[in-house]
Amino acid sequence: MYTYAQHGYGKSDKIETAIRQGSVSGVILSPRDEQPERLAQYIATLRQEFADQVTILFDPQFYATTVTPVRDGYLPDYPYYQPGLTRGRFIAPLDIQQYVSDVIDYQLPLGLDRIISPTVFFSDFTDPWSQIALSMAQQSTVLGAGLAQPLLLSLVFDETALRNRTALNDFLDIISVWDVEGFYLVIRRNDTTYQAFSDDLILKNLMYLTYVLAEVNDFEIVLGYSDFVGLLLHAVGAEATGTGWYNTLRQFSLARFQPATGGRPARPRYTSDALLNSILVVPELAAIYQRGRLPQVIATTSYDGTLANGNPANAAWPPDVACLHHWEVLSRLAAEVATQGSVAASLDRLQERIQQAVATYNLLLTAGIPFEVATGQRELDVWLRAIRSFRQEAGL
Amino acid sequence: MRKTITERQLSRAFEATLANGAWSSKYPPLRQVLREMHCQQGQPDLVGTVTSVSAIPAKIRARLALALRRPSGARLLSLLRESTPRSEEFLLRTSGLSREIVRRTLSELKKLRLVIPRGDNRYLCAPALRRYSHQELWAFEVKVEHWQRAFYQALQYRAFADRAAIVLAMPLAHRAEKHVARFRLFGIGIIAVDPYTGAMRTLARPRKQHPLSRFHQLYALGQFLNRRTAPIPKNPATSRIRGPLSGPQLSNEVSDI
Repeated sequence: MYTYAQHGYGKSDKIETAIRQGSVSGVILSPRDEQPERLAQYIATLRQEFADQVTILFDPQFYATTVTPVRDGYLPDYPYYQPGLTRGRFIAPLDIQQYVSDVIDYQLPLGLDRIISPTVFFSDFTDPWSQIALSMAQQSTVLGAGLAQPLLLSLVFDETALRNRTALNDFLDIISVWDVEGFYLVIRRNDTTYQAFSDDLILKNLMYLTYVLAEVNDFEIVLGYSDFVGLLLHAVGAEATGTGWYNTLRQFSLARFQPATGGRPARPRYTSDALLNSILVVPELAAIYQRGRLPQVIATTSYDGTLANGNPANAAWPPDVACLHHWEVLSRLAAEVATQGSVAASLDRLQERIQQAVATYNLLLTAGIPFEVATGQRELDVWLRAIRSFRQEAGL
Repeated sequence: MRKTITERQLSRAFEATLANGAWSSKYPPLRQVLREMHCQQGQPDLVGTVTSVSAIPAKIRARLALALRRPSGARLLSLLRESTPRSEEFLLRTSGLSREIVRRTLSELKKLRLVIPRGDNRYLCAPALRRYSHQELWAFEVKVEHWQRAFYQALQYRAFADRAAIVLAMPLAHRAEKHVARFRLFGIGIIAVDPYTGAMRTLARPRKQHPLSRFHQLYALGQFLNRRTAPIPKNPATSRIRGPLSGPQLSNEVSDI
């Protein structure tokens, strides 16, 4: 069980600090956000300081090649990247072989712990793009067979694909026989608010997908951009989940690769282990303080002393500190959930945690403290339903 | 009637109320009002000052306006003290700003004589800041009926405002009135306004409280100092307002009342 930092723009020294402090044990690098030379240098720096105490992955983000118009940052500086690819450019097997080989060859000399295969984004397990993704994965298994580093097959798809259980089963039948180390999964969320709304069917099937691959078939499963939802996936066997500093690095959306018109600065948040959520410092945490309920939500990490001892609205809570705090809380929760000895015990512990969080929310609501929909207990109710349904189905 | 009232109508009726006796018989008159102010915590429909920012001496006003025109200036000034010097490292660590921005902003603030260097890269803020930076602000969220959302937003405005209230359409205000205890817990006011007659009724008085965040308070002051003052209608509402309301268009500007 590990928490990985999902790298993006403006990394400063957060990742190194979190590795030193033990709250993240790996990093999933984003070429979109760093020049190739700087990224190679960064890998070397991490390796020099942390040797094999850090797992370094590189998400090639090949799926951005099919996004138009695209906001691809530094990706065009990477030799394997070809913007504006259409379906017609994936018909010839030789083309697919070339894409795969270019991406894998690029990663080989970087000193990574795993090689991540290229893929394309698909919306449904039965659509033409999913067939292209399978072809690329198949080709990657061929080219990856003789590699020194283990290979993770990458799959990036829309969460709505998980509604179709029959298609998911068929898909699992195909991919679960491949001879690879594991999978790097990225699920596109349709709700752009943080935390994104999920429905319980989608979550249940995501747990099922992770469980079948990780527990039943013993693959290493790394789920990028997972954040809090990663707790459910750790409970069913995920090896690692990724989370970053911006909301766009905590839940995946193709909007990250599409032209943006700008936005307002993110409002400061506080991640509470008791609430299993990141609430807004103003007005939510400030209102909790005003009502004398702060001790019930404070996570007590290496960073939040400044908020715990006075009016949080006036406390220094810069984004880097908030991020390091968030990672510490998440990794602590993930460790707690994943180290119970069995999937059933992990799920028991997680359910207990969620029920406690619901109770804490109810207490705060009774005290008159308001929450926005996304910072309230909506997700907790969905998680509980998804877990119950998954357990019933898996007989756990 | 419910379908015909718009937030704009209600907002204009409330502005008219601010300018006539209905408001000033119960509350201190608001000297200036800013509509749709950016405050880094939502966008209140109206923010008013009890004392006009024009009362700040012109030279100091100009310096404060320059210092507070960007969030970085407000952020650093909120962290500085008059008697305990703060180091550049402290400002760097607690502001979340990059070293380059901290240095550039400190340099600007020094030129404006709002920051006093104390050697060893340590800084104090000038006494003028404390003396003139606190203007009593009132923030209002106008909603025809969604009082829960308005309540949440008013709580956000407490970051910079001394008083915060929601303004509801009188015929629908009873919905919030049932929950008045919740408003009183946080000192948030409820003001019901009749969008047609301009009549006003206070269901909960906004309680005076110190703004929660020094940074947001300074940033809000910067918004007042940096917006142009617009001519305002003298007595935009008389005894009765008929819809659709006539009068000046709403815009993001300061009005003297």
